[in-house]
Amino acid sequence: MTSEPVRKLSVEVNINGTPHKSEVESRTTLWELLSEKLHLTGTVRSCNRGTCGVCTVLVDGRPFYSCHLLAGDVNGKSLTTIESLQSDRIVSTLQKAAYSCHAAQCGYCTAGWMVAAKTLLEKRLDVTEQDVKETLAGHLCRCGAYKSITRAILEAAEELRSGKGDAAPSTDHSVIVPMPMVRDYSTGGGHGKSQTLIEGDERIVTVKWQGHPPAGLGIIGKPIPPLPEVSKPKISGSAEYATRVVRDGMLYAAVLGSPHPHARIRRIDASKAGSIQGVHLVLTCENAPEKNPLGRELNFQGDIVAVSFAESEDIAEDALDAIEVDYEKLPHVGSLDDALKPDAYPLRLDGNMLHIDEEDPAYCADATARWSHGSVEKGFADSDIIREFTYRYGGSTVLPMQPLSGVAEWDGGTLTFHGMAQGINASRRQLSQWLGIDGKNIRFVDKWNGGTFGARMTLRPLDGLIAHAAIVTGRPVKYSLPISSEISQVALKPEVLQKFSVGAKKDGTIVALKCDAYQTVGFTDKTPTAGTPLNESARDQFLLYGVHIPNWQLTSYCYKTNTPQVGAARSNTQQEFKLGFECMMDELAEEFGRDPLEYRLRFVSRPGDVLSPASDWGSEFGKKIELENGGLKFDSYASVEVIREGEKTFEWEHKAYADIGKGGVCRGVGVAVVDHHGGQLGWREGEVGFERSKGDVFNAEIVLDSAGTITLKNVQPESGTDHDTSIAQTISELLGYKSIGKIRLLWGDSEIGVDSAAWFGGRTNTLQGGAVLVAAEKLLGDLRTRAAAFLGAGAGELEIEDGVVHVKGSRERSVSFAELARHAGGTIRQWGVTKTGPGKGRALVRSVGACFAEVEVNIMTGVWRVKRIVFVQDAGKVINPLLSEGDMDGAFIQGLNTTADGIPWDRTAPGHLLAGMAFLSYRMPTIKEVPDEIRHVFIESLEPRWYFGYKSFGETAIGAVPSAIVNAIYNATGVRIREHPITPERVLEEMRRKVLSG
Amino acid sequence: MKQFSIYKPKTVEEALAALSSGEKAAAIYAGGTDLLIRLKNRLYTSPDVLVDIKGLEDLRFVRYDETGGLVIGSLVTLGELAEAKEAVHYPVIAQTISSISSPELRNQSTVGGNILQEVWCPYYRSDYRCWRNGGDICYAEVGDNTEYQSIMGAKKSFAAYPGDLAITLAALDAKVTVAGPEGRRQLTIEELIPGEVEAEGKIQSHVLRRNELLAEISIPPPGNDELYLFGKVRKREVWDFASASAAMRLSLDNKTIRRASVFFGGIATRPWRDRRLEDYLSGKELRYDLPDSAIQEVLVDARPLPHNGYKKDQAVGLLNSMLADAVSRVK
Repeated sequence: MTSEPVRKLSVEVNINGTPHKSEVESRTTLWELLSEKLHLTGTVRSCNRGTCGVCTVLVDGRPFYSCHLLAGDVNGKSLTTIESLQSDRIVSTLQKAAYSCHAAQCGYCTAGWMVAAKTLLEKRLDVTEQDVKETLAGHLCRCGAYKSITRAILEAAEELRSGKGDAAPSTDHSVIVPMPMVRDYSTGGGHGKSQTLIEGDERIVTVKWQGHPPAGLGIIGKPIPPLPEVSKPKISGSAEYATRVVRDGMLYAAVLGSPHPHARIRRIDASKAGSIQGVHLVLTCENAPEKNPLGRELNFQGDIVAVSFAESEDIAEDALDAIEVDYEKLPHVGSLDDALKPDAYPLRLDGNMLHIDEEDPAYCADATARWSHGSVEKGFADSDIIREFTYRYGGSTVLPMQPLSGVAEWDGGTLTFHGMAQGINASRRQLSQWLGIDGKNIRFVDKWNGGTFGARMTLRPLDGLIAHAAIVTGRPVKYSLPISSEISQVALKPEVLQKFSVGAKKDGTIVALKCDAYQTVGFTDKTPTAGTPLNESARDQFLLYGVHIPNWQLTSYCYKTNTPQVGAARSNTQQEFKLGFECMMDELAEEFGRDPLEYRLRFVSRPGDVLSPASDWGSEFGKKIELENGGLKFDSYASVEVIREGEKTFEWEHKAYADIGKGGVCRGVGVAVVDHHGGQLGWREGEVGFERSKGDVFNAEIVLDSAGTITLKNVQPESGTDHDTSIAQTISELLGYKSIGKIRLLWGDSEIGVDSAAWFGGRTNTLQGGAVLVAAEKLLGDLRTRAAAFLGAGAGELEIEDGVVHVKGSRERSVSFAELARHAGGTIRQWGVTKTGPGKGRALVRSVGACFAEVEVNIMTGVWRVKRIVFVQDAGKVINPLLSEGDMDGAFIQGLNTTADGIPWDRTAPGHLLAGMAFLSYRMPTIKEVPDEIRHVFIESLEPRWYFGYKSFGETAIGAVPSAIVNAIYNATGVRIREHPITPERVLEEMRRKVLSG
Repeated sequence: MKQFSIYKPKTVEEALAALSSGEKAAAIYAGGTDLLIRLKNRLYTSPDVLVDIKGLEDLRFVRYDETGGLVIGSLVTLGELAEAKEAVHYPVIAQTISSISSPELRNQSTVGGNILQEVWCPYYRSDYRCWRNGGDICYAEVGDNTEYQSIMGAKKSFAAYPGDLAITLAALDAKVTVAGPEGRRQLTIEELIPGEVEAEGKIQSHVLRRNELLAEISIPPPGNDELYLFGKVRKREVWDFASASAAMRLSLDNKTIRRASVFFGGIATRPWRDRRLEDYLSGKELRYDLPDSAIQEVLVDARPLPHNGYKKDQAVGLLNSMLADAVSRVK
């Protein structure tokens, strides 16, 4: 042999025209060379196994996954990364189109697909949708923005071909159906018969308040691309996700998770690990900080045993291999089936089932909670037909494309943490508790997240350990978890078993409905209150149909298990509960020979319907919101419109299941309709309820400066929702601007100095946006007063037009906002506050969604594909149709994901995961699974209690996706799938069962 | 990623010498799409030494041989082969390749590496100490065998051979040339991948010894009046391995099948040749009723594990639709 094998090598590579020379380990990947060594951080990494595409770069002009090449492989080659592309005509055109088409939601996949798209447009410009699908096949987009990405590439090609560009931003697959405001029925602070209303259990007297009516709007309702300071960095590869933070001398963390679902550490020895060259610290149960300890008892697979900190990820992993652990395996409860066994291992002294507070009206001794109306026993006695149905949901999650990650820096007195969560101040407080450091000395930065979806709502103790390590070692510390570890660190959707008993008259009228819902909660003793976090959405369907069902009962049974915690995962407890309910409605419709739509329409709640006696609903709609003036009424509730408009757009025609076509392929259609909250509405400053509320507080500041710029300080991190753009639209509207061009944004950093509650559960645009609007209203009043004085006119004589105040009828008597600010010494500041109301906020803020699906099923292979979708949403006033269209695309794709795929459990060993194959273990839809046709219908059922009639959406219709697909599969094949995930093997299994049973 | 040394030989001889030295077997590093995952997952049996053969230009070619057949160097990437003008006479090759992994991975994966890839059993890939990873048990046999295991039985290790290109090459009667210290030998695909071979204290799918490498693949010239078909069933259209795949060559006299060659992928420990079906098909006319009668003869000796019986249904369904396709193509 002429030379010896080497562990270190020198790499010379030309990157974007610049030569680089670097010394690397043989195992250093190209991504590590680019991002962590050369600090070319535009290329991000997700799965690190070649199964997602976000890290794509061009090597000698061809696309490769940089995580899955060794640095040594590119020696002597030319690389092109997203950084190069500002000067490239194709890419600058792509970037422009991506911006105007809103093709980057969270933006984490953008750099990867954009360099791949460049290779397509270099070859030719007469590209089709199919070409885009082929080129981007190997690029996952977790937000589900595939349609916008495709459109951006086609528009860029068109512009490069014709030289003509700058088409006005527009939507291309959604329609908005306007609705008059439903006023007469409003209660709870909206439009009651009298001006004064009495709300809530505290009998608060509040004045009628409507916010601003959605009339004469100029900016609200326009498809405007997102605020450039938020969106353009996503597209150019410079949005600072925690993973893009690189520092000299940085340490990397690696996490050792428990291999067992339940075990005790008998002995742990990290001394060998600690002595490996390059390892700076190993934290175990023996030396983790007291305020943020690591336990000796491990309660689910992946529960943290140890964290190592070293000069590279590889060395940190070497250290994990060298830790000696002696585990004592303990009996465990690894699944819902385990939990339901009479001899289940006790994880709690008083049984594994949790209970809600005894004071809650839904409390019961034999279950976690029970809600009921009428008497189901009586209802069943009155029934002609009684049917029973059982459905199972296997659990699911939504792993964001950005790996769970963070970077901590300590300068001896101040900690700076670049994190990934859905709240700035809450995160800072959490770190302060774990570290015992005053919050003043912690800066929490989180401007961009590569998705969070609720699964990554808050920091986890691991973040505290990372910060601790930065303080102890004096070095910046970074972590970025592999999928196999992070699946234990995000919120999972639970396993659910629903048993329904339905009593009906011969004509199909439901007179009794009983549902027993069993679910896992993961390893927690936290008693779920009636509203949160577990059972809330299980009740949604009873709001949708329960008013017209005289007797019903819903009982929830929640079990503690040795599995990771459950929680929101692109909506909280929706898909998992609604799958069963909406399949049952389909089965009943068939039983009674009714069209599935007509059958549902017989029962749905409508405006004017009074919610049955409030005490039936537990704390949320019960004791806390009981209205003196006649009970809680539905008002902004477009149940009928959602169904009818969807029917029209889909051209619904429901026949008995179709003939089997060529090659065993058949098609069918299905529908599902769901209720969900329409966001949380609370109180704003000045209302009586505001003073009494003990809920979460949302703050915002806006600053007008002498250049006429409005700086909006909204601290919330951006995770792909672009909420700040719609908020900018509302305040621009309020202030009389003709565009959002005057708005500048400060966000995602505790240094901004605006403390505000975290965002989730549809309260970003409503409550956080409301705080901004309160500030804007104050600013408007202030400007009017100042202008009146300045112009020597009465306030009533003034008109405002695009940043200029003038006296009515004499435009020359005018003063601009900028001049007013100059006159006031340079800036005018206003502060706005809102607070949450009781339960889910004031009154009955609900919304309705529907999914109409056409699927194609190959009955010989069980493989099914969605071919056509109409997705309908009771939306309130649509502020920005472009963003809304993207949000609904994403909701559908993620709903498709949580239908087809679950958690990669070992099916034979409950509590054990088989997650070692990254996105092959956990499959999310690719661009090739996007249906040929997706159309969205927004019903503008104006919300009377809030500014401009908007409410929250995007999370409602998602709950309808799994059941619409299952119903369509039934319509196509005659086979009913009652167990999730909806895999080809399950379709075939049911086929076989059907054949055997004749 | 696990630590390893890397060696870059300049000739095939140097590569073979490097593979022979050392106590523990070195691994060939070519495309690396499979190997890097094993190293990143720190599998017990993952190698300590890599022999990076990407520089061996001798192994990177696509050309015709003197008989008009096709010869493919093992270092040709899947992407290069799919686009090679020499391969246009075998469109089934490009069709097969387009169903493998993703466009980026096809730029990287080599033909040789794809044929010799390790199994994708999740226990193996998660570093369970199974037959293939330094242990003496097959976890999947008694555990979760839903997706990646054999339905045709196994001696010890039930992981299914996952390759798609190999079944297409097998149906095309391809032969591979293996280079070793004693020179070169030629094998059929079936001989190359018998499924469970004990070597270096573990089970592997192929017969290559530690000091051998796959040099090239030869495919005989296409015959007159032949139909080539490939099909694949999987959950997603990208990345996913075959739940079942099948490759078929039908040699025809007008509409009558003179000879059939049928291989299945993803359902057995090796490319699975269904001789009973081949016998049934030969002499039959490609008529509308053939697919439905033929499926009675498909994989009749299947012995699925507790969770993977559906894979047989999928393989049968796939075969049915491929035959239906064949019928429509001779009309």
